[in-house]
Amino acid sequence: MAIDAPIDARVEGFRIAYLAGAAVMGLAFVLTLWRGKIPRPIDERTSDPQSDRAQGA
Amino acid sequence: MPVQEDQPGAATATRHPGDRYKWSVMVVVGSGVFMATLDGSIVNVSLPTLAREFGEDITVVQWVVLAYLVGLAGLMLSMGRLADIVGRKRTFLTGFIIFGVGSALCGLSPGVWWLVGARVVQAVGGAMLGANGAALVVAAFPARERGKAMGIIGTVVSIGLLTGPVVGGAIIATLGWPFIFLINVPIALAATIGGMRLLRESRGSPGEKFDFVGATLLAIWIIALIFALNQGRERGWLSPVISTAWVVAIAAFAAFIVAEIKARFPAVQMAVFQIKMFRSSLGIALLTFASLASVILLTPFLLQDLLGFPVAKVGLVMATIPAISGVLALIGGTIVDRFGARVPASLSLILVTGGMASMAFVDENTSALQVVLRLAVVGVGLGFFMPANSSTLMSSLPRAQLGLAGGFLAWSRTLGFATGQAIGGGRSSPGP
Repeated sequence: MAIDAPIDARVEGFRIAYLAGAAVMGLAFVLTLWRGKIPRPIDERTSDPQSDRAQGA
Repeated sequence: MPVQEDQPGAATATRHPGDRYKWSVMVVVGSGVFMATLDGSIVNVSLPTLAREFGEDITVVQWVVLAYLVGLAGLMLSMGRLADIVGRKRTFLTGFIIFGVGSALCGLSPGVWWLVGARVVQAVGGAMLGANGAALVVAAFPARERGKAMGIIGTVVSIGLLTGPVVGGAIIATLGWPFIFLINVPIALAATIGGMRLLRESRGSPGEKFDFVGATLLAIWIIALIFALNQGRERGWLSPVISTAWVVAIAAFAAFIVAEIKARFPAVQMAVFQIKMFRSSLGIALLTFASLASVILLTPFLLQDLLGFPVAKVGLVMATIPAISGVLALIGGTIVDRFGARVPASLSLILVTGGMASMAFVDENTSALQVVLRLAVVGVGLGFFMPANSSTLMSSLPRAQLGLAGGFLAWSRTLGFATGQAIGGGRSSPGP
């Protein structure tokens, strides 16, 4: 967008860009719903002997 | 006998021998994350100085940023996989050494193209650090503290982003530009020595071989893609250079897929994409960072061109997002550990979406405080989103593939920002 563009055009340009960004972010939000229930991490449900902590302990 | 990690209240009942170790890992990894983030934000603000010192046009000097960006993105996934094979400690500490050597070469640069080459060396080290930091931390912390651990990393990133411009400006003014790179050398040296003493090596997979063919094709694909996305607006989307980059990217991607399907030990196991939790978390990260890039790249223009803010005021207003998200990432991580990642991830993205949408209604009559409040909403959302999604992505693959998961996490940030910047601004930036 040219700096010397009329102020209304500049406002409109920024508006479109931010709304497009918000739309993409909204898509990410929809993906969080589609992802569904997040299971507990594997090494929390079972004792994991390969864990760096377990090896050190 | 140590208290079992999966026992409720274990952390408060008895101190686990791993408690000290996990904080040692956090200090070493945090040093690497801080150094890489600080370096990125310092170099961004130093471009005008470098252009003046070398007597080059800004379009030439921007390769100092671009070389690091494409090198980093091209190598991150492979470096994560390499660590899964040869060991995370070895790969991470080698990354420190290479980054330190690259930084020294940058500081001694006699000309701009030497500096660009040294930045590629830095990128090799940066990829080893970036891909393995999260994996080292996740392996050291118990699963019930994973959100907190990822939140602390997010806070360290924010501190690096916030202090970079201030520290960079002070160093350039007092010591000169070479020291914006040379400052990394003692940090890398101290962290390497500390890491050698403090970190434990992961088991690795000595029976497996590193897929050099796949890694090379992957690097060519990513480098061509990032180059096309980054330079497309400036050089013209249909210009010969950008068209060639697109063709190379598509051909390398196709060859990479074929090579990975045929490889016995592929650089990127395609089976990981069959895991819904992994591919959705990766997709969410890519979309979020691409979208976020438009805010971070567009807003300074909006503040300067439309609202007429001076540069110093723009810097202060832009600090809103990392300042708030950095503080809240600590709280967000603890909430994720306590209540799970699903609700914080979804609610935080509603906040970020709302904050971004509200920026669309800024006009020439909007005050600085009103802009700060809008950006604060984005910062609050990000503070909760980062630990929620990062811990979910890192938990979605088996422990033997933590390096690959960490590589994808760091890669999603770099590729997301490159894409967002191509769509939103077309200016060079290494992202957060």
